[in-house]
Amino acid sequence: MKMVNQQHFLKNRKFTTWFYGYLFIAPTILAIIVLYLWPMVQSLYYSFNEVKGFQSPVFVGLDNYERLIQDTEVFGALGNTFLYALLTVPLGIFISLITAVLLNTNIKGKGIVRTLYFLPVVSAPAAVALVWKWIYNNQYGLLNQILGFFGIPGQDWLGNPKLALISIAIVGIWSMVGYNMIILIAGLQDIPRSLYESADIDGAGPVRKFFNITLPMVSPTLFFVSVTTVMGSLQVFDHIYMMLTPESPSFKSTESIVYLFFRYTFQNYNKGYGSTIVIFLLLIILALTFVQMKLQKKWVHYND
Amino acid sequence: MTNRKQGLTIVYLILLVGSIIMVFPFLWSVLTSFKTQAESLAVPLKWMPESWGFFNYKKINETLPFVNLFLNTTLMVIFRCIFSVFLAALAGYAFARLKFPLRNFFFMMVLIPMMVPGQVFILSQYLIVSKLGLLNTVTALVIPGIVSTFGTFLLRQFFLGIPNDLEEAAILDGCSIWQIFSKIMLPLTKSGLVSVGIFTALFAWKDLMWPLIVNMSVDKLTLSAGLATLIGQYSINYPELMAGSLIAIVPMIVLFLFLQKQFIEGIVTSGIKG
Amino acid sequence: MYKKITGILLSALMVFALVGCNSGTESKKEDAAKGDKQNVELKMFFWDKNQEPGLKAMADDFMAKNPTYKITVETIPWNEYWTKLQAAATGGDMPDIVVMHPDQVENYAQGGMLMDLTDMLTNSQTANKDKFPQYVVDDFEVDGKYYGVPKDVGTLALVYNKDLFDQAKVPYPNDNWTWDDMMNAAQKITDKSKGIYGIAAQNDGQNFYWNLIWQNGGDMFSKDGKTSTFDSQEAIDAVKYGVSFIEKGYSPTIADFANLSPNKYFSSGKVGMVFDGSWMLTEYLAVKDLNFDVAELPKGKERAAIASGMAFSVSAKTKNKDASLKFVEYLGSKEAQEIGAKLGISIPAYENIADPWVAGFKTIDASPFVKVIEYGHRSPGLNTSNEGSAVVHKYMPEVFSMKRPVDDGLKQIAKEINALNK
Repeated sequence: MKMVNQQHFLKNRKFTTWFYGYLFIAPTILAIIVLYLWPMVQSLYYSFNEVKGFQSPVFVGLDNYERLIQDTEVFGALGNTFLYALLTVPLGIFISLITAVLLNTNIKGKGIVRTLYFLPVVSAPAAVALVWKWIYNNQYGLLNQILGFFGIPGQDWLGNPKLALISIAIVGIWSMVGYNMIILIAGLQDIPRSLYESADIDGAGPVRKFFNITLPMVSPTLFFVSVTTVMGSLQVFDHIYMMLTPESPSFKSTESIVYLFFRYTFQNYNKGYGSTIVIFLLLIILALTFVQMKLQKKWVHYND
Repeated sequence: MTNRKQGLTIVYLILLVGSIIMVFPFLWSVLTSFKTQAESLAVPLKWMPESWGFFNYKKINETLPFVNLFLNTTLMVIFRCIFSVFLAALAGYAFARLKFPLRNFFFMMVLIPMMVPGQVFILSQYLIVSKLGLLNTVTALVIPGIVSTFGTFLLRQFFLGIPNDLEEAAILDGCSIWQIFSKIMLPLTKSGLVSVGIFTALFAWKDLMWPLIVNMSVDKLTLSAGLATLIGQYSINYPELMAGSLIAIVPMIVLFLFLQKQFIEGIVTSGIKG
Repeated sequence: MYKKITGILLSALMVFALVGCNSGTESKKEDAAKGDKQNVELKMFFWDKNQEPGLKAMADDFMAKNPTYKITVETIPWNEYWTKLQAAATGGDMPDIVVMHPDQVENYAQGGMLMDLTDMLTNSQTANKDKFPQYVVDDFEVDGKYYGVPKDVGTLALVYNKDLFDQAKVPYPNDNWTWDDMMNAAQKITDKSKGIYGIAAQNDGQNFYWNLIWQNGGDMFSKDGKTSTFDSQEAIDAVKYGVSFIEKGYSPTIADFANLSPNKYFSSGKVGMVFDGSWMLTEYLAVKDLNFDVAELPKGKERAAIASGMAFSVSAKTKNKDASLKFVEYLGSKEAQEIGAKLGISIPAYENIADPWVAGFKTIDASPFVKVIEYGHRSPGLNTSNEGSAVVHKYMPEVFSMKRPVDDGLKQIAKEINALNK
């Protein structure tokens, strides 16, 4: 009798959990379907059609995809995009984490410093592009002046095709740190202090505390940061668009996948091919996210 | 002790260098807002304005209806924050702590929109707003932001990080799932909720494309979008634009400073945990 | 916590509902106005804040003459303008009157978004197509129908720095200047030790080499527009001439232009000459101590420069057809375009009324820009809406950085564009 009751309770509990689970995600999922997934289904549909201007789509089967796999421009852009991600993601996350940890200690003036680190995030995009163009300028730029001070010859940061992507990546890291720092600080805030206190009793130094407590405890947040940063860096567009023009000799070595999508969809009115590029990008990011999801079991510490 | 002092000096040094790098564009905006158009066009760049007058601020205040823009931005930010933080907390909790069939499938649905550029959604979202007859209203500004994929994912991660002994104890005490969520889990992820709030506000505040596409009269725009209308096809009056941008930044900084306090309070409460 | 959240949410919903109500009554008011024949509301879009006062003055003048009209003019910045218009057109909410660009008109006209204005432009007394330069009217012709009442023209001329000419003791450019004269002047002005160059030879069709190709008797496309003639001898020679400025060191390299735009090179007094548009004058005039003037582009085999115009178009789905047509006809009239000329920064499209625009400039002679109206060429439509621009962007940077021979680059461009058009 008692056993049956408990089983009944558990079963009930299971269905109640299901019910609450669906109830809690329902508004989010519904809104996402209407506002985000439906447009993506349309993009998928367009990728099998020729869609020019305001004319109705004409079904062309896999034509766009055939064009895509033969398009050297797409693969050039893909190479640039991957290189950009490699340059920005590891370094960017590393710097964000260090900054977050430093700004989460009990040092004086951290409020002010946090605000300063937050400034790039709220600065006007026009100001950001302009100032960086000035920093990089080959003749008057601040960067070359500083290098000159150390006796290093100045470089053409934006004009040289070999350097332009690195220059864009530096701006990318710079604008990423503020975002990621805030998220990581929030993650660090939720680490129970008692853990550090008991580590203090054991006589652990700051380095050991970092690796034994901070890193594992912040790893769920760090996982979030790394997934979103990979997604963001593979969608790089704004900084390239604002700092280089297609007439520039270094443009081809910075052109990204999203730039191509933007050009075909909004400038060339070839929505069909533009959508194909977006689907291609989606598949790549999806695959990478999947890999990250699988790998997280190795390093992310959950209390699940 | 000296070791600790040395360490502290290094920390300050790193943070100082970082701050200087971070602050450049902002500093440039401030200085430019006091320049004349001619000074702003000088090559090589002159950092300091010749005189410090507020003429650009006066001019921009006459050009744009700042009171309206400010009000619209505030309304948009508030409503987007309320909806997206609340919905993200519910869904994030469900994805992290409740087991139900197809959980991972639904979670993928949340992640997928983050994998393509935002321009993909604009046309369809416009058509929805248009069909609802909401073009050129403040409501139109709010709509795409009522749900946050970013926030849902972030809060899921936060809920995953909470030790489960608390939850188990609550279940044994006979708490309902709603009670566990609202009384135990929500307070524990305060910093997460605050950061979702900050980012929702930030994305809403930064977004130019959406306000300009759904709304048309300048008194129905947001601060950033209103400022964008000043960008000419061939030339930009940088001093006026920067004066405007600085006025527009103020609310964001105030919000950040205010929410930072919540961060600090977070330190105090987190002692309870664990 | 629970009570708090519900409280916030409830009050949120209430305010939300209020906002909704407000907008509801507003739109009802609008509907009422539309139904009432005494009062007509018209909406118009444009993309340049600098020109807003001119358009508003024209609208005000019209409303003063027609008190039953209420016209609103809104500015949407260039970067968002076309996305917004595309969305509005798809959703059937296009404003009654929009400003059209020659590169975009085909899409909108073929998509059935614009009203056919052929009738008005052929029969009207005030806004007749004979009153405008032929190429601007033609820019807005799609499949034999006219979709735009010309608004203004933008032309290209040689803008030069008088101080740099004086220092190098070179006479200012004049109407008889040839390619050789320009090359000589560029050579003399160049002073590498001071970082001063003769000319800004930029990798830009509109602002440089298209003009040279036309001046050399060539073109980018055959007359029927179907075949690319980028590989013609005239085009190759013209681009060779253009690139030679960089080769000889009389112009900054295009890598330099990636750091500092040609406009900035000119406004900072580092470059003696630049091919520039009539729309840039106000910006250059704002620069302190920039002593400059304007001449016609030099003559090659013939005189040529780009000239293109914008136009007013009417939405095909406007609810106020007659009223919109009436207003657009007014916008194409002499009186309206004169108002725009006095206030605006663009040259009016209407014949023989450019004088007020020229007279608006006190320190420079802007008339060379107006002379172009007589011999202007239409844009080949490569810059935005055609995938041909991607082909050009693939090879031209290599040509201008001298990594690929001119003839090879141009032949590749012609080959690939022709393959696209098949």
